[in-house]
Amino acid sequence: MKTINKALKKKKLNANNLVFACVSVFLILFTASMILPFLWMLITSFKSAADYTVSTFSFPSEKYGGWQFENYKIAFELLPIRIVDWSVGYIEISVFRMFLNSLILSGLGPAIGLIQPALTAYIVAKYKFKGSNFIYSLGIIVMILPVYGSLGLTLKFAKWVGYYDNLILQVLLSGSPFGFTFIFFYGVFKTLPWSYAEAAFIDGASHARVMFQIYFPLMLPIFATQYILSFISSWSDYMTTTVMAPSWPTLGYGIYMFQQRASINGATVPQIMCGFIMMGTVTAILYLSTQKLLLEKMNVGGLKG
Amino acid sequence: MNERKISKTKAVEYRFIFLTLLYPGIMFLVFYVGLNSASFAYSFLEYDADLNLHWAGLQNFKKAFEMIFQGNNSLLGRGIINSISIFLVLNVLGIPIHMLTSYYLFKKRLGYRLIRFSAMMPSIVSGFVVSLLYIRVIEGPIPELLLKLGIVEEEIRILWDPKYNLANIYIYSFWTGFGSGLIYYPNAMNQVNDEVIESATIDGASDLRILLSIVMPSIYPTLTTFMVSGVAGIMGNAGPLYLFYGYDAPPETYFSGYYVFQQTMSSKTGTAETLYPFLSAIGIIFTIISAPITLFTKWAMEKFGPSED
Repeated sequence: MKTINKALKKKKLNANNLVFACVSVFLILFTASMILPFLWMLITSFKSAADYTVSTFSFPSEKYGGWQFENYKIAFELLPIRIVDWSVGYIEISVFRMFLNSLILSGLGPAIGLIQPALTAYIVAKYKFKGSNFIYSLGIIVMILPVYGSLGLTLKFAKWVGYYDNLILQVLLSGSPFGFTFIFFYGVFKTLPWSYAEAAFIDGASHARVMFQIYFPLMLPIFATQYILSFISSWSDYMTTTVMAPSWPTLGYGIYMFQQRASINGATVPQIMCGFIMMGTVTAILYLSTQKLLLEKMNVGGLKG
Repeated sequence: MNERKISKTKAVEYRFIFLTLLYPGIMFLVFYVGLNSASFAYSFLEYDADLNLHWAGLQNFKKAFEMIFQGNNSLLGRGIINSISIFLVLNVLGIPIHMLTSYYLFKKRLGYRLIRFSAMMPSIVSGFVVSLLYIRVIEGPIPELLLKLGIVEEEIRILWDPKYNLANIYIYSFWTGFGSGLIYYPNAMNQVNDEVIESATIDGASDLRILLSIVMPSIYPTLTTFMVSGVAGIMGNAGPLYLFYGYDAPPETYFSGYYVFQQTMSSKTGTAETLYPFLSAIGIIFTIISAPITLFTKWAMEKFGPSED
C-alpha cells in the first residue's frame, strides 16, 4: 500500500514538474519575443539603408558605413508632418508643436480624468445618503454595460458645441465619473478610517477641507500611479488626432504618419526605428523612474454590486 | 435647539455632497446619458436626398439584421463572428496560460524579474511603439527568417495574405495582451495568505493543487473583473486593424468594432454623415446582444465561482 501511495505521489509530482517545465519554456519564448525585437530595433537604428538591405539581422557593418548615428538626426528632421489647412493649403507642424500637443493630451488629460472618479468615489465611499448605493450601482452598470454606436453622434455633438478640432477643450471636457478608476478609488477610500474626519470636524474643519487636506493627500500614491499609467498610455495617442482633432497632431500621430509615409518622405527602415526609439524614450524614462510605485499599486479587484 | 443644529449639520453635509457631485454629474448627464440617448433616437431616423432627417421606424434595424444574418458574406456579419471567435480563443487558451505563468512569477521562480520586465515592455516604451515595431518585424525579418529556415518557399506578406492575416491578428492580440495579465494576476496572487500556502506545501500539496485550490479561488474577483469587462467589450473590439491597415483592412480580418469605426470615419470624410443613423442602430443591436451576455457572465461567475470562505 505504501509503495502504491509513493508511486502515485511521484506520478503527481512528475505531472506537476512537466506542466511547470512547459510553463518555463513558454515564458522563455515569450520573454525572447518581447526583448529580441527591441534589440533588433536598437541595432537596426544604427545601420545604413544598404546595410539593412544586405542583412536584416547583423550588427552595423564597416563595409556599409558602420554605425550611423546621424540616422537619429535625419529621423528628427523628417518627423514634421504636413496637415491640410483649408485657408492656406498645407501647413507644416514641427516636432516641438507635436510634443506640446502630446503634453497637453497626456499631461492635462489624465489629471482631468482623475478628478471626476476621485470626487465621486470619495462621496459614495464616505457619505451615507439617499442615492449613494444607487450611484455606486450606476458606476458598476456603466462599467459593465456596453453602449455602442455613439461615435458618429459624438463627432456631430463636438462640432455643434465647438470642441471638435480643439485639443484643449477636448481635454477639459474629457473623463468620466465612472469606470475602473471609480471602482478602484472607491475600494481604497473604503479602507481609510472615518475617524480622521471625525477628529477634524471636532476641530472645526469643513467637509471640503477634510476631503482636500486629509483624504486626498492619503491617496496621493494611488493618484500618482493612475496618473503615470494614464500618461504613459496616452503619450503615444494618435487616435485623438485622427478622430477628433486633425489640426492638433500629437507625437504619436507624427510617428504613425512618419512610418506610413516612409516611401514618400524618403525615410529608411533604420531611420523609422530611430523614430520609434525617440517616441519610446519619454515613457521609458518615466516608467523606469517610477517602476517601484507602479508595480506595487497595479491591482484589479472584484465587481461587487 | 439640538435638532435644529443636527439638521443644519446635515444641510451643510448635503450641500457639500451636492456641490462635489455637481461637476461629475453634469459631465455624466451630457456625455453619457445625453449622447447615448441621442444615438438611440437617431437609430430611428434617416437622411433623405436633401440631407434632411426624417422618421424611418425600424428600417435601420431591419437593414442591420439583414447584414448580420448574411454572416461571413457581409463585413458586419464577418466582423461579429471574428470578434466573438477571438474573444473565445484568447480566453479559453489565455486564462489557463495566464494562471500558470502568473503562478510561476508569484512563486518567484528562475528569471521572474526578467520575465516581469519583458511583460512591462509595452508600458515602458508604450504599446503603440510595440505595435508599430510588430508591424515592421512581421513585414520584414519574420518572412525573411521563415524563408531562410525553409518553412515557406517564397517570401510571404503576413499582413495581407488571406492565408495568414487573421491568424496574425490572433497572435498579435495574444502577444500584446499577455503581458498585462502577467502584471495584474501575480499582484492579485500576492494578496493570498502566505501561511495557507506554506501549510499546504508542508502537507505535500503540489504547485498545481495549490494553484487550483488556494490561489485561483483567492484571485477569483480579479478573474471575474477581467472576464466581465472582456465580455462587455466583445462587440466594440476593433482589434489592431486601424493600426495595421488604416481604413482599408482586408474583409476577412474585420471586427465588429472596426466596422462601426471605419464606417463612421468614412462617412465623416465622405457622405455627409448619412450613415450615422444606421450605425446608431447597429450600436443599439450590439448593446442588446452584449448587455444580457455580460450580466449573465457576471451572475454566473459569482454564482458558480468559489465562495469567499
